[in-house]
Amino acid sequence: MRRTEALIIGAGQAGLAMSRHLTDRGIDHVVVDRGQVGERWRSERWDSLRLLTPNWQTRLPGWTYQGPDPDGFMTMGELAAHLAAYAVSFDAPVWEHTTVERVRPLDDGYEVVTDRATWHADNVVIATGACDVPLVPAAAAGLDPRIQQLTPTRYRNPDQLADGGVLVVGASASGIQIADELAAAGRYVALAVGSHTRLPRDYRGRDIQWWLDEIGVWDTDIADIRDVAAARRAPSLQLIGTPERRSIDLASLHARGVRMMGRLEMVDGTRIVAADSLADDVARSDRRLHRLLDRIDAHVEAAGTSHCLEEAERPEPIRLSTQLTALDLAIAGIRTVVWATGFRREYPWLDVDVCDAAGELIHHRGVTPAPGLFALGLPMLMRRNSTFIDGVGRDAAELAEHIHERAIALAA
Amino acid sequence: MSETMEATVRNGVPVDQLFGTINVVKSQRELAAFQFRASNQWVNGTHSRTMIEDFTGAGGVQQHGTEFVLDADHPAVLCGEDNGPSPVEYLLHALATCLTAGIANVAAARGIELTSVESRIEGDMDLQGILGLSDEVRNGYQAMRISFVVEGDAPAEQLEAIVAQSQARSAVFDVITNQVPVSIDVATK
Repeated sequence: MRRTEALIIGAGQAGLAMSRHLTDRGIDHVVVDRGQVGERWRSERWDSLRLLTPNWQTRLPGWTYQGPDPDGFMTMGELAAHLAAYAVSFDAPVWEHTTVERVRPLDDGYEVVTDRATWHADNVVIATGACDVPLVPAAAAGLDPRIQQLTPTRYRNPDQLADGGVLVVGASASGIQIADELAAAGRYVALAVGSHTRLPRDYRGRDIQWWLDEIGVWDTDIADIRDVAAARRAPSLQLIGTPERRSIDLASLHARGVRMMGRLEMVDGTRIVAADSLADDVARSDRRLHRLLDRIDAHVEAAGTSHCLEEAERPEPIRLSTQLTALDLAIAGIRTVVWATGFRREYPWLDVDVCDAAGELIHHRGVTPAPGLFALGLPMLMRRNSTFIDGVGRDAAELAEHIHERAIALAA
Repeated sequence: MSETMEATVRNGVPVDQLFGTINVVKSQRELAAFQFRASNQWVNGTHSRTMIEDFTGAGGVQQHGTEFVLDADHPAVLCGEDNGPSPVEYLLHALATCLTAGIANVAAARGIELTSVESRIEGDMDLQGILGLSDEVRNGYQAMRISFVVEGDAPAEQLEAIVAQSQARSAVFDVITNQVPVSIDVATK
């Protein structure tokens, strides 16, 4: 059995940021990944996807974007290359194509069994990602078996889908981007919309992500969030990263011919019934939007920089001329349903009793109840941007401190 | 955002009722067995008259609100008296109306408001077939073409997709493009 101070599971941005911080502290460790560095970005994303954050906002510990287009948005290929170059930059001890089969507690640390080697690790950091297993509502079981079902992890492009219309369920970033792409390809798209948050790509001449960074939204510590559990469940922002920097929202989708319905209430064969929730969710989303833009305007006012910025032009209210209350997939000619309804996590290889009834890791700021077992890269682990490439580094630094302190304690 | 709990009627199609009907049929498949029928009587020359009164389906005999009387004849140039459209023109009518009804239904189901649906339909026929002048030429249409102009509150490709979906579910399109067995029975008196 190999011996290491820390074993990191997952070589995505979280695992690499962790590795960088451990490297900086001289802590012996390995990073294992079932695929390549940044595997999910390579194999579980659609072809046209670009990051929702601008290139400058991919600040990893000791690694920032140095290319010619800091305000652009990386394609998945570019991001995978960015992460791979990061791993090389500090010679990260990554074992690619190494699948973890079991993690079990020992008296002093953990035994990590993989298909290539077995380690005895003092510490284990689970960095397998927030977007692990697509969360599909139980109602999906009632869908007519002739209807093709996809999740964003398996969606690639419109040509992959059966001919005809598509029902996209979920109006977070994934759902609206996929709906937008399918409608642009000439598909009829119905979109089931639940709670969502609308944001313009740019505000007052700056990228909205710049503003969220500037006014400190992303850095908000979970200690300062009233209801962390609710915040963690909130769907991702309605944003798209495109070279033309366009905004995407229900209005732009409606103009493309996408038809909206409320939250999915019932699925029975080809019959879909929506809750009467759309108007409320649209209104709530617009209120959240304006509250945020108010905060930005107040920030500008306080800084006295208004004269350097463009006028405060607010997005028009969302107006939908029609909405669907019910849908028959057969009559509407819909042959595919895309479930863009979020993600859950599962750790079937983890023989340590640190998961709740839903199978999620129990932790406080990444520290699980099992000594030496840590989590990284989960939604709002420590801050609002814990799952962001730009945010995971600070969380990794905090965990590296824990591991460092444990090393001192173990040595004593 | 006005349609909430009231029954949705879009493009004049009672959408909820349409979906409800499908749902009922889904659980009682025997309700889907329909038979359409018509009676015809020769009047004179190439002029005859069809009466359409009822059909069976949805578990019983269904009466039309009124009896429809449809005259057909051959045009003068084909030695008829032009008392009505010719039978092959009824076929044009059947295809156009079937596709158009489907367009209205599909658009309604998809939440798309139509403002106008117009079509022009043509069928090419070489009369050497029915006149017995050539065995090489078929009796019926050699080709049919229908062109739609659709206007509604959706982008062009979405409106085009509605027509495609209507075609995919059209009874008359199916009957014309796929063979249907026809039996002809004769009694004499």
